[in-house]
Amino acid sequence: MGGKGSPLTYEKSLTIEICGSSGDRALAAGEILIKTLSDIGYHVISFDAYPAEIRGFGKTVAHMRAGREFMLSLSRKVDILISLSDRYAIEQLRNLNDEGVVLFDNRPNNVVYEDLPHDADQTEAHRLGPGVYTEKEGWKTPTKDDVSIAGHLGPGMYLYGIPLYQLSQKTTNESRSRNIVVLGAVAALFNVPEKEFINNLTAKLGKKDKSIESIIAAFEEGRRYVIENIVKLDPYSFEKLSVDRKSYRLMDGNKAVAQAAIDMGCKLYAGYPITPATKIMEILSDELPRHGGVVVQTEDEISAIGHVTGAGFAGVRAMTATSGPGFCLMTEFIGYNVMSENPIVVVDSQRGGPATGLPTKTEQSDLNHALFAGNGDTPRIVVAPTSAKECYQWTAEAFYLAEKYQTPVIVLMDLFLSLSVRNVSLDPIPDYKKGGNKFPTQEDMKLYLRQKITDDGVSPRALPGLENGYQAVSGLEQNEYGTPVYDELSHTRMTEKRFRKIQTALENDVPLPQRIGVSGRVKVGVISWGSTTGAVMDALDSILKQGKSVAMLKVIVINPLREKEIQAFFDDCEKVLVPELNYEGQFANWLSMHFQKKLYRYNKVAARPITHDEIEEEINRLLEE
Amino acid sequence: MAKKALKYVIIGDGHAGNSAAETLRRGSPDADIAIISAKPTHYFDHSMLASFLLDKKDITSLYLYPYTWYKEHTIRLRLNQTVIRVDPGKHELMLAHNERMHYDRLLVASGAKPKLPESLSRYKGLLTMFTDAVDAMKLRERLGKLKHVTMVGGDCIGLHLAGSMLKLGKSITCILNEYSFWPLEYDTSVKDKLIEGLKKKHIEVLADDITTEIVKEGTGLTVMTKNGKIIKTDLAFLTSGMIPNIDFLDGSGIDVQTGILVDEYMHTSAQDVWAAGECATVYYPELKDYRQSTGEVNAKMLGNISARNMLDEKKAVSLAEPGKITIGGEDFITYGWKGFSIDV
Ligand SMILES: Cc1cc2nc3c(=O)[nH]c(=O)nc-3n(C[C@H](O)[C@H](O)[C@H](O)COP(=O)(O)OP(=O)(O)OC[C@H]3O[C@@H](n4cnc5c(N)ncnc54)[C@H](O)[C@@H]3O)c2cc1C
Repeated sequence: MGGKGSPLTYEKSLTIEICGSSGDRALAAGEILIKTLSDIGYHVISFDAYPAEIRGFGKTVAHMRAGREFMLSLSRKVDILISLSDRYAIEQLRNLNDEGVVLFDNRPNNVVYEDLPHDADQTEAHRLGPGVYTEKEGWKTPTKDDVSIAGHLGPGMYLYGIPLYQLSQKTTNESRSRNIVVLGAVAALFNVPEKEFINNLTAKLGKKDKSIESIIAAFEEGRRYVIENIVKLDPYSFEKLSVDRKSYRLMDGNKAVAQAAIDMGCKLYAGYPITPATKIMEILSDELPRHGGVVVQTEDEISAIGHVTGAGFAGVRAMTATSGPGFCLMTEFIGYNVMSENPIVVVDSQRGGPATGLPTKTEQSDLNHALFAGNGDTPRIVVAPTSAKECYQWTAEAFYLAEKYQTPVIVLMDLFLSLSVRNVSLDPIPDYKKGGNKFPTQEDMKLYLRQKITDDGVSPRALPGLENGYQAVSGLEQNEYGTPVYDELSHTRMTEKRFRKIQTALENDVPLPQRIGVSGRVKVGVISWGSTTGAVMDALDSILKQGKSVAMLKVIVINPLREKEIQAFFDDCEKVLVPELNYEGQFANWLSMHFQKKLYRYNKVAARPITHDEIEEEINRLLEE
Repeated sequence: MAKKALKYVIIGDGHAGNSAAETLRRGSPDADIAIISAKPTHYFDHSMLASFLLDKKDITSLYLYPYTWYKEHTIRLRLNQTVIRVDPGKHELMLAHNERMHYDRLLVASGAKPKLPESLSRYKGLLTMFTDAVDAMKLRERLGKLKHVTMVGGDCIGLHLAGSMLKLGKSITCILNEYSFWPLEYDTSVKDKLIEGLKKKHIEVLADDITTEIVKEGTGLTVMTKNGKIIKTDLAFLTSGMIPNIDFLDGSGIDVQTGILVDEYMHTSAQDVWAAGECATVYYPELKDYRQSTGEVNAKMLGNISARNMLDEKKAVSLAEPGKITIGGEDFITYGWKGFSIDV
């Protein structure tokens, strides 16, 4: 019967998961689905999960959220779970909402599933799967492959069986098109227009797959099966929205960073592969050469930042991107670039730490390192975009600020921002931002002082090759000529100058933090940074609709801080909540170094992003307390 | 050592299955209880389907328990899953999606399905079923387009449905055949009374006639009868009674006649297998004979008795209290069938 569902047609958003094991191509199906939902006008955000060890082994989950309204975060609960592998999908059931939908293969090949033994310990059995009973052996230790998802649903959930294997065989002569058959079923069950689906199928597979016709047949077969055989009782449904999202592109944070680098005229990218930043290098190694640039895969991260430092000195815009472990290796060069007043852009996409930590899990625990890494007094600019759109904007800004203030700028992302895909429309970068260097005047060149003491702390910067622009560059303290000196006066003046220019940056180039929600006095205010901000904004959206007294402040530039505005916000809030994905409350600690306000911390090291519903619960708790 | 809690599996999410599950849970708090149903809908009251057509309520309004009830009672509910085989020797059953389920004790409460008389089997695709909530949901969507409907057979389900059709202003023809008035006796005295009652309600009655041909014409149908009557109609409902839904027991070795044969304790011929509700043919000591179970009242009662026996209580069946069906002012007595009236 397929079809429309009740006209609930989602006010709120729907979260969908496609779960399979390697080879099931769950992620490919997810990509096609999310693109299709974006094409029919939904705001989307997707965040896939795959095992830490080696990509291609074990469980993979394409996880996506789509809604009519703008949103920036994931939901904790899943509404629709599509199983391409029951043994893995069963684990995902714990996230399915009580009235969620499960799609599964009801005619699997060569499998006889076994139900839970009645006398098995339920938790253990759930984990291991059920026992296999034979008269000879009695109960045999089960393997996970023995379990069908059908026996594990909660009583309010909807189960739809589709013969994925059979239909895939029938149309493509192989079983690996089950992911496509299921997309056809999704189209019919949840009213996703066929045309857009097929366009995206063709776009994604057409080039690679000669047999696109049979792939489309697999899709159609899944669709037809649902129309003819399934009675839809769940309330979930999409529809083609009449909004124009032509200017929207699907991209993740990594792509946004890479795009910004290209658009800002970055000519050298040096890096060493590391999850989750590797994709930046992959994209740039395709793209930069087309824009007159180069990508160097260095032997390690020390070398990478060394390359970028050299390019910065030579007046070439350059960037490196890494994650926590790589960023640790780069520490020495952060100090070096502070001292030599050299512009570099370093992207740190945080993952669970310390050390190698949790390579494929997100966290916001490199903040301390980004703020303080390096010996001595090492002022630097630290920015933390909160969305893919801002990854673009603030990477561009990082190039501008680095050049204008001759300093390292650290762009703090995290795995969630790096890898979650959203449909975004990018704001063009103003032309003046594309070159921030303070070139010396003719007057300056009469006696060129590379480290000239100026009111704003920024010295005119001659690029190598400029006549009379000789300069000595080292990691040693220096006088205005750049000559190494160790006296009290020089060190004091130079240290002040290095801090002064960051203060200038604050006054001239750090936008006011955005306040959202109720103005004036509020019961609860949330101050947030990085990707958690998306969850806070989505939570606030919902709470504000209930007329509650809340507001939030979004801080993107973590150093230097807009203290006056933050203080004003704190003054307005009875309670201030600081949610972040780290154990210590690193941002809360940073704030406590600057402000007296009592902060309510909400810290998680959950190895996944904080969700909007969690923040909403926490805000409500504080409101009621 | 404490006795291990048993695993009870119930095939059927109807009155019999649910009443058994409830009793089992009460009697055995630790037992593992699972209900399986081939249907996607939850437990509901079939007798409400006729009035469901009259309003716009959501299908869930029919459900007798909120799904949280199953959570609270830790009863596993497996909806939209079909049993295709039972092997009492191994104490296991097979589901259509290739899952083998073990049980310690099994209750078959798989209800009944519409009877398709041999003479009508060619026209199966043209006949409309009205047996479950989904049928009702689909029918409700089409109601606006219907002017005239035909009841092929005129069993009690059809007559109940006819009551709603009348309220919706549809005109009706009833072709009464040998299966009419199922599950009630259709002897001559009943027949005359029934024809009288239906006529009073302005239902066209074709008595002692049978459908010989059904032809699709445009969006409607033409129904032809042995006596030469040609009826132009929008829908023809199959209302020729119900037969136990027990095909999946083929090869199980469980004794069946019309339905599954059970003794007065609702036990089948197979060890650890009981049957209740409309799939069962029950031995009543009071009658010293078997009687096919029909109706909600029986299903609930027999479900409960089966469960008590599954819990090792020796509880024998007894006949249900009589009920009443009223049609055009004429009353008819039922046994185990919750009565209704098409007059109000
Ligand atoms: C439209 C209609 C109106 C009715 N009106 C009345 C009335 O007014 N009064 C009255 O007393 N009675 C009425 N009845 C009859 C009454 O509904 C039945 O007597 C009663 O439902 C029988 O209950 P049960 O538990 O035996 O079976 P059912 O309620 O029919 O339940 C059978 C269950 O078995 C499941 N099942 C069957 N086969 C399989 C399989 N292979 N695998 C898994 N699951 C399976 C089904 O999915 C279902 O859940 C009516 C029936 C209908 C169809």
